[in-house]
Amino acid sequence: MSDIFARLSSAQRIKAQVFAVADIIAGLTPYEIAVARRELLLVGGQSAAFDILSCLPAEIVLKIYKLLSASDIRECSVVCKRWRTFATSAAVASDHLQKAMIRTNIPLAAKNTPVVALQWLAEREWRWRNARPAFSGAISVQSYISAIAVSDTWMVLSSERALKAWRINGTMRQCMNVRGNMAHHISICPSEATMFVSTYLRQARVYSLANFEVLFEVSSVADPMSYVDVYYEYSAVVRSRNVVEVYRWQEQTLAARFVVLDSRVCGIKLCANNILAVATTIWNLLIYDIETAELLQQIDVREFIETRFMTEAGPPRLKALHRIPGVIRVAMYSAHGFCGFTVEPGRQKSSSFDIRRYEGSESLLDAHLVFRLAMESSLAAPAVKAIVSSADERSEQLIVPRAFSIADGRMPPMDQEPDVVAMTDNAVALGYNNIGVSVLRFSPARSISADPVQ
Amino acid sequence: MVVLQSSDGKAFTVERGVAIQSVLIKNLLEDIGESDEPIPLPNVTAKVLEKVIEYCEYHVDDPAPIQDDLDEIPKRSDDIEPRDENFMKVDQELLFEILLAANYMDIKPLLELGCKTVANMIRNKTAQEIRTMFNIVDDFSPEEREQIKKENEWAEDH
Repeated sequence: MSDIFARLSSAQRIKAQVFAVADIIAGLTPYEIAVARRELLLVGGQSAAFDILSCLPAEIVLKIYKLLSASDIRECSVVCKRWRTFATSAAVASDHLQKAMIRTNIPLAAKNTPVVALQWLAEREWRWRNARPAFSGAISVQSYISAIAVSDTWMVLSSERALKAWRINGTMRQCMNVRGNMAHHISICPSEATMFVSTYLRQARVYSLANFEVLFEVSSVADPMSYVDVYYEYSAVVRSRNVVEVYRWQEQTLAARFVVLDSRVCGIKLCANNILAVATTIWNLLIYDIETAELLQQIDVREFIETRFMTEAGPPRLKALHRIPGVIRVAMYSAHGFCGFTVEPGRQKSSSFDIRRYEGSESLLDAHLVFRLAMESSLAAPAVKAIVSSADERSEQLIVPRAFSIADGRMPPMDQEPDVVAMTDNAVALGYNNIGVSVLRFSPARSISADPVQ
Repeated sequence: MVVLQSSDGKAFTVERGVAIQSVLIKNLLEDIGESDEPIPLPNVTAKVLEKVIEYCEYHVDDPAPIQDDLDEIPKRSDDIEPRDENFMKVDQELLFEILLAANYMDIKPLLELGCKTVANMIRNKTAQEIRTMFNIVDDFSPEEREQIKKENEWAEDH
């Protein structure tokens, strides 16, 4: 036998060995094969205990993952290296994004994006599942409300030539009442440390939410100031309706200045990765890089939105949500509807953005959804139902009665459209001129127990 | 009657209705027509085949599973019949082989049942509990753990 083997060419020898191995394998049970395969794959001599998820074929593991929630998968991703590789793969994440009714491709360029997307989904699930009646309250305002903003723990409004802030923490406590001028627009930083307010007096100020001191001020004798946004170290303000200035407010320096030609600005949003999104009245969305002061992309929004939204007379408003790195999710809304699309930077920073519309934009707007639930007398809207049940079966019972409690109990009549609305993922504030403001807030999504280092 | 033969040579005689719950066997029978020849299942041992047949015998009267194009709809996994739940109370090794057999023999409801069983083993557990459950060694290096921790913190800030 060994003689014959010696006479074979090397290719034939390999073939013979393969056949011999195949013979051995044919006599093994699938379990033994799986264990053997795992032994072979293991490098470094770690203990090779059989574990079912590492041995099953990928398509079955995907089926199993489909049955789990994003927070379960997040736990799976910190079990061990092999589990992590699979649990953080784009296949698993996109399955779950689909489940969450977000039609998007995860950009594979950003290595961590599936991880981040899962984090975000886990938080959202957590938020839905644990949506406790954190707060639902109302205050009376006997005048015109010129601007309103809300965050997890703050509600800020401007009326009667004063800026007033309420801390929402079990109760609504008024903490600030600064006489000044009517605010045009108010933005609260996601960190809740600061807010940025523009007034009709051609002034814009960054206030500390700790002590309401003015940390930064920009004013002008000539240019009216309209929209503002503050995002950590950056604050942006629109001047003269077509100039956007971005400041590093801590350093009191101008970071970038963008002039929009041919149209007026109707919304701005600072996003992660030094991106500024600007919406214009001629339905353009401009994406700027603050660091390089470059216009990265000009997008004609009309290609991505519904026609019924287009017939809206007023200009669109812009809300950039979920500032996940690698993806800017944009939602534009008006009284008549929402539309949304994602803007994903290409693989290189200079290359073009990938834009796609997503369906069911309200699934990204938790507070929006609640607002709709509260406003719609019929709960049967299938899209809404589907979103609620896709989040969690129990959440429907949890959220719906609460949404109604603001609508029926307090001051605003069910059928009256609010004059001003502000919302975040967790909170919604509905302002009614000469009546007041009602605030609904869910418990913020913070305390998720996902510390793998224990 | 149909004769199924396991990889280790054991023959099982079952009713046609029981056997054709496996799409693999159903297609095979349609191709070869009626025959007394045993159908070899080279990937399934007698121990596993016995379990699979037990499942198919119990579910012989179930309506045929609807071919679902709605694969994207999130499925529940808390709707397992008590009898099926008991049926699945096996060690992980056998559970694994049942899953592989269901996949190979193309028995959708059994595959689904197996997936649900595994999913329920993972659900609402911490990473450490999962490790204990599946006898897994935490093989992250301290640096990797630090990295994971950073990612988690980072995502919570946004």
